[in-house]
Order: sequence, then C-alpha cells, then structure tokens
Amino acid sequence: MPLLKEGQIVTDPWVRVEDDADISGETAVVVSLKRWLDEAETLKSRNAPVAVALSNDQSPSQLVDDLDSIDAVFLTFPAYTDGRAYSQARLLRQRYGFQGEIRATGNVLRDQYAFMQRCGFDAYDVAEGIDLAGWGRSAGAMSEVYQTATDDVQTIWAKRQGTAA
Amino acid sequence: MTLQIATANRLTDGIVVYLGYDGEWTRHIDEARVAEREDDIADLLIEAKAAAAVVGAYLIDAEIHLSEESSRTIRPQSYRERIRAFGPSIHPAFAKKMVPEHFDPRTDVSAVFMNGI
Amino acid sequence: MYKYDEFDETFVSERVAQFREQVARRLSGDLSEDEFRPLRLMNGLYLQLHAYMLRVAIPYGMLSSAQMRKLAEVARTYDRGYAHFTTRQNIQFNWPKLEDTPDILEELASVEMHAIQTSGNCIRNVTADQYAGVDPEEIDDSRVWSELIRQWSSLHPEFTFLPRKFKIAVTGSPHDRTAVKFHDIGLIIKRGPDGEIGFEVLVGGGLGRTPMIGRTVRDFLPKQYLLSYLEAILRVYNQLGRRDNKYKARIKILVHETGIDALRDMVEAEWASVKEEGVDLPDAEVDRVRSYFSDPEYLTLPDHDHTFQVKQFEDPTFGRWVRANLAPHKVPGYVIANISLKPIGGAPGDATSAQMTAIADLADKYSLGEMRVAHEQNLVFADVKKSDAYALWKQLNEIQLGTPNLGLISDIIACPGLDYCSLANARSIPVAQRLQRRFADIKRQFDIGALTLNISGCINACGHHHAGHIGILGVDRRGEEYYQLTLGGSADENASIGKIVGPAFSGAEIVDAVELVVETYLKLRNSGEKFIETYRQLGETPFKNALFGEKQNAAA
Repeated sequence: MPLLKEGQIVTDPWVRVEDDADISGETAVVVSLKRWLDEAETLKSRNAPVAVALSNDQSPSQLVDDLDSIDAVFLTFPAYTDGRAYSQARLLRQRYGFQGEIRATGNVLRDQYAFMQRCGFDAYDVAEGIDLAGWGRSAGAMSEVYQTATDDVQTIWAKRQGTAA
Repeated sequence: MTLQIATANRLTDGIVVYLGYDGEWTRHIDEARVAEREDDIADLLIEAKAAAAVVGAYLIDAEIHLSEESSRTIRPQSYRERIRAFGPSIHPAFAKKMVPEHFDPRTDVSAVFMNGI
Repeated sequence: MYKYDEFDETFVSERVAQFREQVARRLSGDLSEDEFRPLRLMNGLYLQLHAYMLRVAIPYGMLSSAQMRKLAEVARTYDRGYAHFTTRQNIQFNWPKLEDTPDILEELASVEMHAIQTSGNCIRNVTADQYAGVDPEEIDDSRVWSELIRQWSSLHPEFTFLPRKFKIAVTGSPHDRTAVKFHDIGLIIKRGPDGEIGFEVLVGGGLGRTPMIGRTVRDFLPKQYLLSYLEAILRVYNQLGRRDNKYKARIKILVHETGIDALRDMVEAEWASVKEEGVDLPDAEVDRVRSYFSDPEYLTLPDHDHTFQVKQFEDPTFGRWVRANLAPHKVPGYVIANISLKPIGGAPGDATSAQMTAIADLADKYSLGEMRVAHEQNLVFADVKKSDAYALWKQLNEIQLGTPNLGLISDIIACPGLDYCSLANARSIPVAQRLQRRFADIKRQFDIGALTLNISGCINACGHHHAGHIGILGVDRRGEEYYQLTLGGSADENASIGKIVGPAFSGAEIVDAVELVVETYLKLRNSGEKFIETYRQLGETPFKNALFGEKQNAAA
C-alpha cells in the first residue's frame, strides 16, 4: 500500500509481523501491543526501528513509559466513519508528547486528511493511484480553524487575541 | 410472485424515478418496467443497482390496474411507496400530475386515511 | 446578535467551496454514494423520500430579518416556495437539487448562515432558550455560551466521526424551554456558592428508541472550563461509545451501561488533564462574544399601556392571543411575542416564502429586526412594545400567523413524517391537521388549557412524542399506519418520559382516542389543574379505562 508523507508518496520501510514471527534481523517491524508489552526489553535491544500497532480499543496510555523507545505508532480507521483513532493520535501527540511517526491505516481518505493532520498523524496508508494534487487541495481547503488541536496552526481564537493585543 | 418494479432517486436532483423498458429512468411510475419471473426480477435489480445516474436503487411490489380506456396504471403496494410515487399527501400543490384515483389531492385528509390512500 | 468577523466569514465561505468541490466529485463519479453520504450529511444534505432535503442551522435560534429574507428567497428560488422549522432550531428545505446546493450554501453564507453539522455523527447545531436575553428570570444569556460552543465544535478534528450524532442544549433560565434534559449534553446555567456563573452539566439525555432523562455528571462547572469539560466528555464518548449497533451508539447508552458514577470518574479524570492543555478560552474572547448579545437600547416606557389593555377587551381574540402567546419581558413596557406556526389545519412548523418575507418586515417594524426560532416550531419576537402588540397581531393575522394557541392543544409539535422522511413509518402531519380541526374551537382549547401534544412518524422521535403530555408515535403494522399513544411526558425542568398506553390505534381511530383522553381529563381534573398535573395525580389507569374499557384493561 502506498505511503503518503509530507505530501509525497514514499517507500514504506515498515513490515508488519505476527506475534510469533522471528524478528532477529534488522528490519523495521510493526508489532502488536501485546507483543510489545510481552517482549519490550527484547524489542528495545534490537538494532532496528520498531513500531507498535494499536487497535481502536487499546489506550495509548499503555505505551506512555516506552514512547522514547518506539519509532512509530500505527493507528487504524476500520471505516473512515469510525473516529476513535483521532482521539488516540491526539493523546499520543499532545498529552504524551510522542515525537515519532503516527501512521493512519485502514480506510484513509482525502476528505479526512486535514482532520488527521490536526490530530497528530503524519503518515498515511493510501490507496493506489491517488490524486496527490487533490489530496493537497483537500488538506488546504480550510485555512482557518477555531479550536486548539495538536498541530501548530494558529487558531482563529489566537488570531483574535493577537488582534486585540 | 408479486410484480416488481425498480425505483431510485435521481442523483442530480433526488427526484423519484423508475427504471423503464428502454433502460432509461423515468419519473412516471406507469412507464416502469414490470418484472414477474424470478430471473427477470434478478436482472432488473442488477441493472438498477449498476446505474450511476441514480442513488439507492431497490425493488418494490406493485400492482397493475387496467382502466376502461385500456390504459395501464401501476400502483405500488405499500403506502410508503405510494407516497413516494404520488407526492406528499398534505401538499396537494406538490402532488404529481395525473395522480390516479387512489391519491386524489382534492380528497380531505381524513378521507384519505379512511381510504388508506 | 452575533456578527461574523473576517475569520468566521473565511471559515464559512471556504466550507462552501470545499462542499462545492465534493459535490462536483460526486457528480463526476469520483466519489461513490457511500463515500459521499457522510460528507453531504455533514453539510446538512439528506436524501429523503421525494428529493434531497437541506437542513440549515439557526444557531441557538437567532435570526435577523435579513437572514429570514434570505431563507425566503432560497425557498422561492431553489425550492418550492416554503420551508419547515424543525424541533432543533433548524430550517429544512424539502426539494433542493444536489447540483444547486453549493449555490444555496453560498447564498446563505452571504447572510452568515450555514448548514455545517446539521446532520451526521458529529456535534449538531447547539440549541438555546428562545427567550434568552429578555426573560426576567434569566441567570445568564445562553446564547453567549452557545455561540462559543458553535465555534468550538465547527469541524472539530477529533469529534467529527463520533459513534452517533451529538446534541447540546444550553438554558440560562430556571424555567427550561430547551428540553435540556433530553440532550446528549444539557447545560443548565446556575450560580455557584459565591454567586459566580457556571453550569450544571447533564449527560445522556435523549429521545429516540430508548428515551432517557439526562443525568448530572457535574453539579457545578465554573464557566471558564466549559470547553475543556465538553472536550473531556466527548473524548470519553468518542473512545468508549458503542459502534457495533447504531441503536446503542448514543452517549445515553454509554451512561446507562457504564453507570453515571463510573462515567463521571472517567470524565473527571480526563478533564483533569484536558483543562491543562489550553483548550479553554481566554476571558477576552468570551467577553468579545458576549458584547454581541448586550441589550439593545430599550426605550423608557411605562409598563402599563392603555391601548394594549383596552384592545384585549374590545377584541377577545386579541385578548386570547395576549394570554396564550405573550410572555413577560425583563424591560417595562415590552413583551415577548410568540408567533404560532400552527394555524389550524396547517403543517406544523411550515412557512411559505411570502410569510417568511412578511415576518422579516414585521420584525424590522416591531422587534428590532431580530427574531428567534423555538424548538416547538414557532417563532418569537423578543422585543415588542406593548403599545405595538395589537398592530403586530393584526398584521400577523393577514398572513395567517395570528393564531392564539401557544402551549394549547393545537400547538402541536410534529416531525415531517412519512410525507417527506425516508425513515418514517407513518405520516405525522395529516394526524396533526385532523387533531387541530377536531380541537379548532378556541374556547374549548382555552378550557383544556396547557397541554403539549407531540407527534413522531417513527421511533427516532424527531416529533418529541415521549416528551409530550400526550404523545403519538406512528408505527407500521402489517403495511398500515398505526398510532401508539403515550401519556405523561414533559420536556421542561420537571422532565418525564411518556408511558405507552395500550395497543396502537389506526389512522382512523387516533383522533377519537386523543379526544377521549382529553375528555377524561376534563371530567377528572380538580379546578385549575393542568393536564399533566391531573395525569401525575391519577396515573394512567383512568385514561386506559376510558380508552379500552375497564374490564378489558383489568384483564390485560
């Protein structure tokens, strides 16, 4: 599946592995939360990047103490109308200060791109042959936002205060 | 088997339409293609669902009425589909033209109830 | 009322452009209907029985005369010359074309209106008290907080794909006119121990399939924490609300299954963090919004107006209109005038383009160019001079809107029902019209007194049947329209959920059944007792006996 980052399709270095798969090599692997919790020490000592995939009912708080050792967190949209991953991303980015990649997987569509960006996602599994320019337009369709989120966009409310000051 | 016709709403304006014999969608229920045999009914649904110009195609049960002038009218069996076919019962002005007897906009609403539209 | 600044303007106009682009992609086939549906719903566009339906937000019910004129123009130009005011301070157009909707939205944006989040599983249009700012008993103006919530919730990146729709109401008066206890979140403005303003926060109220009265999640929330507290509730709900069954997805089910105490613990724990994360607004922004709702320059008038008094005697129908439709205003010499959109035999909440234009003119002439929409599907002129009331009423009569029936049995709340709605099982409007005709005698209506009669065409309860003193629910019984009666519901501060009485009635029987309930009440009531009081006193039994016969009832 093509990977979209910073507006470009890039090579995806990550490989998803089953909980019982051998990970002795130096591949960048994506493991389940269960495997991470079971084998955190082994995974940390590997000389290769590691990502954790959370299902929608798994709280990112379970990774809080390990976030420095994790390179990416994979979140999922089973259907684009299922918005649980927005909260997970925001908690990771904003509350727990996660600096690594937050990947949107599953039903990732351009009309939700801007919402995902605002909640802290920075990598997107997208369908083959997407219209990159169209995605760019969708991301920029709304130049003004009201509410504080995870991004550093200046909100309307902040701008008003700036005007008032 | 009950007679079946295919209906949907037109994509551009949402208006109720029926799949006709020529493969075009028509606003007039009397021009709808009627299917009776099982495989005809299956074909009708496949064709209706494949159409890009309409939204949410499905089949409905219908009855054919023959009038004295030997003209043919089609009447859906369910009252929901009758309202869809002939317009809101409370806005005579927006009921469709040439409404058949079972939906006469001049009828008092209480009488409409008695007639079960 | 609130005026858009450059940022609000950009926001709404960019949203229109975005939707225009989405519509173009749908028409070209780039978007499938499944992909497009949630996008159009987020902009208030449904596909109903006969056509598309566009629901436009009237945030907290406020409308200027310019906005009302624009709505009339949209109805005339793009629709069929009328529109429908809903039970959630929205207005619906029943016949717009998909290809026209971007233009309609652009027209609306020109008068600072939009259809953002009037549908979909997101935070819906925020509703408030239609008497806000003029009610003598008011603690604080609910519109200020509603506008802030409107802005906060608009395209909220985290809460746009919730398990289910999410409705918030705000009331600033001890007498609730917003059905606040039947909302996903109900905010009741109150004073704290030191007289400071804050909110009692209710959660998990709602109608629909499983009606529930909201539970208090926090007894007093200091006002400066409103947004962080809402964000905490929404985050808990977004993560834990059920997504496996759409009928169990509202927050009321989460409250019910989790228990209010456990849910409160989760919300409070979440809030402890959220309130440190910069979500709340600085006072300056609250003050800026508040300044738009400051009092107009009222004239100093005597509270007693001679003409106003005399005309009530000279013209008894005007006297009735004064008694039913006028409410006290906080400023001497002024009244709040309710305009009933329930003429006998009309479609509840419908208004024609011509009526809407005329209403806008009357608002300019008699109510400082503004009006409000009530969830009971009526309109309100909030600032009418007593000395103008008679002239206003005369002119309302010219457009068939002078009906003196506010709060009486013919002031029926009704959803569009199966005449328009694709979800409905039965028609609502014809039942309302037949009931209005049955009770058309205005003297009889006054004798019956305060009584709410609410009709929904399906279990989704847009017609608030559970919350009516008498409620009617349309059901489909073996391919025929049947109507279930409920008794004892109430939407005010003493909210209650109506109880189903007996088997459903056919379309032909339902009007007689309602009349029998009313006659039973008239027979049994103590002097001065309202219907709901008699019902609460005596319970359902005498009504059931009247409807189904004592024996049959005992056997059942």
